[in-house]
Amino acid sequence: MIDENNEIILGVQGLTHHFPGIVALKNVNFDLHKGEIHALVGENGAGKSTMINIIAGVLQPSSGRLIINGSPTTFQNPSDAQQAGISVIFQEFNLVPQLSVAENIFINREPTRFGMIDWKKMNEKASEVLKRLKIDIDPRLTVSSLSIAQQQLTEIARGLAFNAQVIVMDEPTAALSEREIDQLLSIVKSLANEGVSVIYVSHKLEEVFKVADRITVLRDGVRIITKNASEVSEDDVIFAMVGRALIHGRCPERKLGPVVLSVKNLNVDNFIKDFSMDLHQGEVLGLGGLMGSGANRVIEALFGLRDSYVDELTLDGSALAINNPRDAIHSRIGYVPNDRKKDGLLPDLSVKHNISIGIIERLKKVFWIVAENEQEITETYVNKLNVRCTSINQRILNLSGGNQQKVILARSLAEECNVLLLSEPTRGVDVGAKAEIYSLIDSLVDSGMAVILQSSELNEFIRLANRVMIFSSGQVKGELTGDQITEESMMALATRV
Amino acid sequence: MTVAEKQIKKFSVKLGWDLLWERYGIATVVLIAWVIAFFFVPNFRNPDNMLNVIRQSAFVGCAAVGMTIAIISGTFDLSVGSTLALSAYLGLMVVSTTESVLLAILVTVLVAMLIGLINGLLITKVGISAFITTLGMSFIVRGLSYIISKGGEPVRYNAKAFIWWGNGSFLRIPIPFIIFIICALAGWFILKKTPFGRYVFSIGTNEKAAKVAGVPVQRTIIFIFIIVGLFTGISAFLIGSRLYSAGPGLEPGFELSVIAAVVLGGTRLAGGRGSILGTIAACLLYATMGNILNLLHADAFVQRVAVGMILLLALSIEGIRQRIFEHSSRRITTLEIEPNSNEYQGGQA
Amino acid sequence: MKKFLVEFWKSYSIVIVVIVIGLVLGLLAPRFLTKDNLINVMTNASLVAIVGLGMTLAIASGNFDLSVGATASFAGCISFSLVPILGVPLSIIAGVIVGAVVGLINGLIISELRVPAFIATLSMMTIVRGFTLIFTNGRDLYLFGQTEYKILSGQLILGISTPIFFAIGIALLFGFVKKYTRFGRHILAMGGNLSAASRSGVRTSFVLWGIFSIVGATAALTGMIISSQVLTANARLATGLELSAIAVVILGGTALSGGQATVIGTLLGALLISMINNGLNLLNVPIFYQELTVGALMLGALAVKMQKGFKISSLLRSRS
Repeated sequence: MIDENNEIILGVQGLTHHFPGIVALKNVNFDLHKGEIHALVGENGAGKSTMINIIAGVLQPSSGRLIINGSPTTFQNPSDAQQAGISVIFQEFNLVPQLSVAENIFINREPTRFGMIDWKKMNEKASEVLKRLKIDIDPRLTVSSLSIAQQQLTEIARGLAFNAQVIVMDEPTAALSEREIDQLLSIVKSLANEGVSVIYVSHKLEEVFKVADRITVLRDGVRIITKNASEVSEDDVIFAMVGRALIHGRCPERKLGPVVLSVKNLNVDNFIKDFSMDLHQGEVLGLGGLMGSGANRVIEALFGLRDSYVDELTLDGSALAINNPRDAIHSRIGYVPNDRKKDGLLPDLSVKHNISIGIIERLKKVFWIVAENEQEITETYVNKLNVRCTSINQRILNLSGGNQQKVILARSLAEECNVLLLSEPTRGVDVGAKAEIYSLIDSLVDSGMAVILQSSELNEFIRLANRVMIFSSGQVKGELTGDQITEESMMALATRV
Repeated sequence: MTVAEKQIKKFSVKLGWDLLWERYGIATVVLIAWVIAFFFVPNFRNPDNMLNVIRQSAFVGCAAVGMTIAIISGTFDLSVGSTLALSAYLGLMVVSTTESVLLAILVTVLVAMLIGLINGLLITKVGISAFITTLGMSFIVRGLSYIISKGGEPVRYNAKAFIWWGNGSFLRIPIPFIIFIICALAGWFILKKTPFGRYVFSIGTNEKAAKVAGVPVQRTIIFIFIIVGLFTGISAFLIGSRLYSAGPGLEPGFELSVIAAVVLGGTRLAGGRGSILGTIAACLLYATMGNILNLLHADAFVQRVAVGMILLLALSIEGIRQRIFEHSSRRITTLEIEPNSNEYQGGQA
Repeated sequence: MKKFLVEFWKSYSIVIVVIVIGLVLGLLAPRFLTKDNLINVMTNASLVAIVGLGMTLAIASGNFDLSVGATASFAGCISFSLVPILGVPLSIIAGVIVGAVVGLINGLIISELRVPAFIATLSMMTIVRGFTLIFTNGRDLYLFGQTEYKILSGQLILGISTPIFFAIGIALLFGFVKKYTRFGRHILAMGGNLSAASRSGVRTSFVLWGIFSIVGATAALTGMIISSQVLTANARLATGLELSAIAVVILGGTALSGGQATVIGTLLGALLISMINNGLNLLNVPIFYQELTVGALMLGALAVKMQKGFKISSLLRSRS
C-alpha cells in the first residue's frame, strides 16, 4: 500500500483545457507517487484522453500546470515528455504498419552508431524488452503482419522500452485475451515494485481493482473523487462515474411471433462454419463471445459486408440473396455498426441527411428529392428517438455520442426494417442515452421487430436478450435462454476452446 | 439545458464562422474586388470590359462545375486537360469536315464522357486509385490526340455559326457565360436536389459509412466521372469555338487550373464539403484578377504569380486561424472524438 | 546483402519487364543494344530519375510535390544568369541551393500554414513559373562559349555521361538515408502513420522541411542538366516534369499511400520509360506515341498489381 509521505513524482494542478466550444477539463488536480499505480476512470468523454494527451505533451493545456519531481514544467511536444521520463501507451494503435516491431518500439529513440542506425543493436534490445514482458514476437517482423493482440502487446512493449519514471496506459487491455490481461497486470505490478509509477486508464473496474493503489474518477471534465482503492467499493466508483447508481435490469418478457429470418449453414471467411439460426418476430437474439470470436462476422455477413456462403437464407419464408448492404436494406434489414465513426457517421452531413440517406431514392419524384417528405420523415424519427439537436440541419459531428447513435438508429428505422442487426449499440454512449436506447429497443421489439444483438458488454445481453448464442473461435459453443443468461454462464461458454 | 447541450450550442456558433467563410468567403472577396476595381481601376467599369471578364470566367468554369462534383466525392480528375484537347480537336475536325455544329457539339461532349466512363471503370472495377488512373489517362489521351493529329497541327474553322458559341452574345451577355450559368445551375441541382448528389456528399465524407448505409458507391463514382467528362466536353467546345481552332497542345495545365478554381471556391480537397456557388465565385475571381492586372498593364508573368499567391493565401486562412486558436502549438487532428477503431486503415493504394 | 536482395526481389517484376523489353527492342532494332545508344538511354533515364528519387522520398512520406517542373526551370535560369558572376562551379551549386530553398518554402507552407501538399505545391508551381518568367522576361538565356557548363550533361569517364553518375550516386545516397538514418526511417514512419510518428516525438515539421528541400534540390539538378544539354535555359523548360516524376516513382513500385519506398524501383521505372521511348524512336514510331506509352504502362502496371487484392480493394478502399 502506498505511503502517504512518499514523494510525488508527477503533479497536475488546476488543469483546464478547451476544445473549440467544449470544456474538456475543468480545474483538475491529480498527483502520482513514486511506485504507485493510480487508476484514472470515467466514462467516454469524461476527459481522460485529454488529460493523458496533456501529460504526453501532445496537447498544451489552456491553463494549469504540470509538476515533475517538484518543479513546474511545460511540454511543447511529445519529445519533451519523453525526455522527462514519461511514456504513454495510447489506446488506439500508434504503430507504423510498414515498419518492423523493433523499429516501432524504438521509434525516435533508434540506437545509432556513427550517426547510422544500428539495426543489430536495435533488434537485440527489442528482443530483450519483449522477453522481459514474456511476449513471443520476432522483433524483425513488420507490424502489418501481426495479429491485433500482438500489435497491442508491441504497443505496450514500446511504452516500457525505455526506462520511464512514469508510464501512462490508456485502455491497454481492449484487444487482449483473459490470459494476456493477467500477464499484463502482473507486469504492471512488478513495474510498480521496481519504483515506476503508473497511470492506469480503464473503464473495466474489475481490472482497476486488481491493480490500482488509488483511484481517481473524472466526470464531465471534473475530478469527482480520489480514493485509496481499499477504501471504496465498485459501486462507489460507478456512482461517481455516472452520477447515480446503475440500474441492473433484466430483459422483460418477450412475446415471440413466427420465424422471420432463417439461416442455414452460413460460412464466412473460412472462420464461421455452418452457422444456423432462426430468428422470431419480437425476439432479441444475442450473439456473444470474446473479441475475435466471430459473432461480429456473422452480423456483417448477414448485412452483405463480408463474402459468405449460405445454404439457405429466408426472410418471411421466401429465399433471398444478400451480396451488399443495398440488398439487405431493400429486404428491410437494418444495421447499426459497432464502429460508429468509421462505418456509421457521415460526419459532414446534417442530422437530416444522415437519417434519410438509406431511403433517399424512395423520397424522389421523377428524379429530384421532395424536400417536404424528407423533412417530415426525419422530424418524425428525431422526435420519436428524442434526438437532442438544435435543428435537424445541424451537422451530426456536433452531436454527443449518444445522440449520434440515435441518429444512426433512426436511419435504420426510417428504412422501415423488420430485422435489426445491432453491433455494440451503446459503445461510446453515456449512461442516460444508454437507458433510452434500451427502452427504445424494448418498444421496437414489442411492436414486432426482430433484433440480433452483438455486444462485448455482458450486461447488455442480460438486459435485452431473451436468447443468447455464444461464439468461440468461430463456433457456437452454446445457447442460453431466459434465466440461464448470466455473466457466469456466458463467460464459461465464451472461454471454452 | 444540460451541460452537453450548452456545449453543442457554443460549438455550433463557433463553427458558424467557419461555415460562413467556407460558403460565402470567396463570393465576398469577388464582390470586394469588383467594387474596388470599379472605382479605382481605369476602364474596369467599361461594360464591355466587365462582360469580357465574365466571358473569360466561363471557359474554366464549365469544367470546374464537373470537377466540383468529383472533389466533393473525394476524388479528382487529372485527365481533364488532355480530355479537353482531344475532344476539342475532334469536335473541330467534325465541324470543319461536315459543317454541322450540332454534330461537333455531340462529338466533343461524347468523346469527353467516354473518357470519363473509362476513368470511372478503371477506378471502380480494377481498383486503381483515382490519382493514378487519371494521371495515366492524361498521358494516354494527350498521346492519342497527338497521334490523331499526326504530330500536332491544329485544325482551324471560322464559320460564323460555329465561332458564335465562344464569341457571340445574347442581349449583350456573352454566350459562354450563359452556358456556364446553365451548367452551374445543373450542377447545383444535381448536388442539392437529387439522390445522386446526396450520394456524392456521402461518399466524400465517409466512403465506408456510405457503403454501409446502402449507397451504390461504385455506380456513383462511375457516374461522377462521366459527369466530369460532360462538363469538360462543354468547356472544350467553347474554347475551340472561342479560338476558332484546336490542337493537341491546347491549354496545357488546364486540369490544375480547374482543380485550383474548385479548391479556391471552398470545396474541401478531402471531400464531403463544397459548393457550386464557391466555384462560380472562384472562376470569376480568377478572371477578374487577370483582367485587373491586364488593365494595370502588369505583364502576363506577374499575373501568374498573383494567381498562385491568391490560391495560397485563401487556403492558408483556415490553417492560420487554427494556429492562432491553439497558441502556436502543433495538434494532432484526431483528438476531438474518442477513437474506437482497432484496425489499421492502411494497406496499399 | 540479404536485405538488398529482398529489396531487389520486391521490385523484381519491373526488372523482368526491363530485361524483356530490352531484349525485344534489341531484336527489333539492332542499333538499340549498341553502347552509344544504351548510354543515351541511360542518360535520358537519369534526367527523370534524379528528380524521381527526390519524389520517392516525398511520396514515401505521404506527400508529393507538383512544383518540381517549375523549380527545375527556375534553378536552370538562375544558375545560367549567375555564370558570368560566379563562374560555372559556383553557379551550379547556387542553382541547387535555389532549388532547395524553393523546396523549403513548400515544406514551410505545408507544416506552418497547414495547406495540403497538393495545393501548396500546385500554387508554388504557378508562382515559381511566374517568377521565372519575370526573371527571364520570357526570353531564352544562352551561355555562349561557356562549354564548361556542359560538364553537367557531357561524358565523364569511359563515355558514361555525368547524369548517369548523378542518378546512381543519388540513388545510393538515398538508399542509405532510407535504411540507415533516423531521418530516413522517420520519413517512412510519417508516411505509414502520421499521428503515431508525431506522438512518438518525431519532429514531423523538420522532416517535412528536409524532404521538400531535397526534392527541390533534385529538381534543380535535373533542370540544370536539361539546360546544359543545349546551353539554353528558359521558363518553359521541364513543363510536365512533375507528372513524369510521379509516374516514374509509381511505376517503380513505391505506393502512393506512403510508408514504403523503393529507390531501385524508381531508377528502373525511369529506365523502362526511357528504353521504350528510345526504342520507339529507333523503330521510326512518331515521337508522340511516347506519352501514350507512359500512361498505358503506368495503368497496366497498377492494374496487374491490383489483381491480388481485387475484391477487397474494389469494395472499400479503391480510391486514394
